[in-house]
Amino acid sequence: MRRAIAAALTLTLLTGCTSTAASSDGKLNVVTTTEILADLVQQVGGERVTATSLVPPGGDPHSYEPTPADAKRVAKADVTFTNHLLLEPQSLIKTIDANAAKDAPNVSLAEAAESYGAHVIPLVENIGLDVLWLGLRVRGTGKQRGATRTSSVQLAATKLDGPGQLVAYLTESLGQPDRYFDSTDGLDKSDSTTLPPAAHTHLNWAFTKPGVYHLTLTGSLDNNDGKLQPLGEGTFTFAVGVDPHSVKPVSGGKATVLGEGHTDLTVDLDSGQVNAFSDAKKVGAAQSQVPAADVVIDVPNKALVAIPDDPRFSFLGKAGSQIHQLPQAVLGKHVHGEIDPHLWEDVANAKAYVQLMRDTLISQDPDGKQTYEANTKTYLSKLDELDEYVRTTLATIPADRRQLITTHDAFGYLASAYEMTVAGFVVPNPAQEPSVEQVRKLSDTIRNLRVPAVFTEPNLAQRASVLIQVARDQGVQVCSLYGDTFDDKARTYVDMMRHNADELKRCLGDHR
Amino acid sequence: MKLLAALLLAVAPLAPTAEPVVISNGHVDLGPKFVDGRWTVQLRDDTTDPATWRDLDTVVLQATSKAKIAVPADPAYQFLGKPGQSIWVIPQVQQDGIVWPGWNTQDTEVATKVDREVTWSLEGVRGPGTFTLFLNSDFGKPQPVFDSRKPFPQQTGVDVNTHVHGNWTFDAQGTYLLDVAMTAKLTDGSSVTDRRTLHVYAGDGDARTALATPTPTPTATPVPATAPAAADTDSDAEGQRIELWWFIAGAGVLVLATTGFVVLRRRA
Repeated sequence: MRRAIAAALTLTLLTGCTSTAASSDGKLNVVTTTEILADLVQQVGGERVTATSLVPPGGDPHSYEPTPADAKRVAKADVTFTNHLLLEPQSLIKTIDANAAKDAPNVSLAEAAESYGAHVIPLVENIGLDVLWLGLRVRGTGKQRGATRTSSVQLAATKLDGPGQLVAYLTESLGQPDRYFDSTDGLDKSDSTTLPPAAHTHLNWAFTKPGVYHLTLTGSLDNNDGKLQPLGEGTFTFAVGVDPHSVKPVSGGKATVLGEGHTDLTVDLDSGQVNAFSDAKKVGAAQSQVPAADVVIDVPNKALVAIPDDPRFSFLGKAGSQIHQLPQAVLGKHVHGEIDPHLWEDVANAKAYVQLMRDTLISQDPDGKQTYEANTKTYLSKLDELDEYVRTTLATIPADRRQLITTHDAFGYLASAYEMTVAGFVVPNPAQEPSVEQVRKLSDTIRNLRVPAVFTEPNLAQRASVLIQVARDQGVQVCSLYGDTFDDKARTYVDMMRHNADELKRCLGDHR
Repeated sequence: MKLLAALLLAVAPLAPTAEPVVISNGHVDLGPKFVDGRWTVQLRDDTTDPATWRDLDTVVLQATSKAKIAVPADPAYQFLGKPGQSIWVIPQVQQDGIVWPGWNTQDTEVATKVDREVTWSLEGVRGPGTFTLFLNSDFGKPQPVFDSRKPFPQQTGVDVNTHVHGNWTFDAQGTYLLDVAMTAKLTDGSSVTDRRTLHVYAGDGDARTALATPTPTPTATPVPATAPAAADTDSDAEGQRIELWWFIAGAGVLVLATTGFVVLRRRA
């Protein structure tokens, strides 16, 4: 809500402010927080504008502390641009808000750019929850089989093969686990559960070792007449800690990989089929139903957790050992109201920034309207070429190698726009220290996925030491990607994005 | 699907249910819905077929003695009370005989129009004891959502087009008035908000008294009733609903998709 008001205020400033530029060289003086933003403004402003950033070259915007000199620069600025949304620390935002001249537009790009078509993604707080939400379900009425509302359907786990064990269990209100399927003592009659028609329930799905698992589920109908009417069975494939695109489903045909959203392993009372029933990806689209034999369920390394030191969960293994687990509830995946700030890693979003910058500059310097519009037009077509370049370059990387392991969580937009996967990072925000647990998880992720390379960011040398160590231990190549800042090799946004595309192809696209 | 969506819009606005009901068993969801084009917090009642969206001032959720449990000794659950203390917990996982309230942002129009997420805030609680709402996941570490002992308003985010269940707890018998608001930014840039009172009764007493308790917030204006199509239905098989007459709303069936039901039998 606070954000909505701030954005509205920004727009008011945009339309209400028409005072002219008054810097010493006659140019419009624009101050931004980062070099990336300064470059974008300079492309739009051309000769009429001097754009400089507060965070110095190579500095980390997440942890930059403003100086008194910064306050003076802000006070003299005709326009200020921040990215905002927690990219910059609160002290830097406060310095800008407190010192910006009243008639100088002060624009928070990431939030305001949405009205220019920017695509934003919510900030993931708990990466372990950013996985498939998997349950069990019964669909259909079963009328032709004589089912009524008092009938019930038995779903049994009848076969499991894989490198380790599977336990599907429900944790009740006061933390008490209730096991539905548990292969640790073999699969028998007790590894079944009963649901009424049209029911569904969520479970935790724990796997004790990484690798490929096949789980056969068998459905039977109970019409309260003392016998079980067989329905059907189906065998689902789970890719646990390994890339799901490298795994063949039971049918041997093309796999449907399920890795996000909400899916239930389902028995259909009418057809007798056992399938995966998934919520529609888009509002209004149809739900999908995929036969078990065509399904590969992704249980990524994000889902690695340590077994707690709690006797109630000792059935999962030794306390402290790592398992892969899809959790029964995924609320809390996103930070309420927060958006991932690294919008520019998707070139389409940089285009939205640029258009917002154009309109802001015009509002402050109407005489430059034609120049700003012409520069923007030229630059937008350059960005279109860049977008195409990044897209076609990354498309050459085989699907099972498009794994991003980085120093901090800055590449969600790159992944989302260009079909990469964020497999892991040292810490979400570079201002944080990694825990022992995080380092271990990172290590397991690299090992399980057999990634050819990990990526550090040039400006985060200190943070990179952990990643470099882990990569060396496993003989994995260390490459570099630009996240929040330039260095002396990349001085423009276009350079930086081209480097990122080339580097990803070089490090991931070739032989393993 | 598009055609169905259009039909859903065509049968809206829904008629509010005029007669008060008490729900003590089965699935319900608190959630926003566009009623006569107006963003309104309502209760989706899946104990009827098709589901009925109810005005909050016509419904009471009752936690009967079936929901009574003793607070465990586990320190993680100390926020519920002293170990052994008897409290009412409406569980996150459905149990037969206990109402199963969740919250959703899956009304088709809501799911289409809301930008990313709905903010659900608790503006205040009136009742004889403490109310908490918490979630439980894999290893049983409770994650608090609301706690009536903490300052108001308290907020949580609900991603658009999602459906969630939590544990609702009450530590003394009687009527609880939960002053709730749901707010969202729409994809057209506008903002919508609505604030209502959810009535909950803990205990085996006459839950209808909860509706007689004056509502603390003046903002809960009932939506004007359009002439509803009345329908006579059979007495509910479980016999839990006190009110046997209600108005069937024709819509809402589309969003049934992710409704869950009780697990009858567990692994031995």
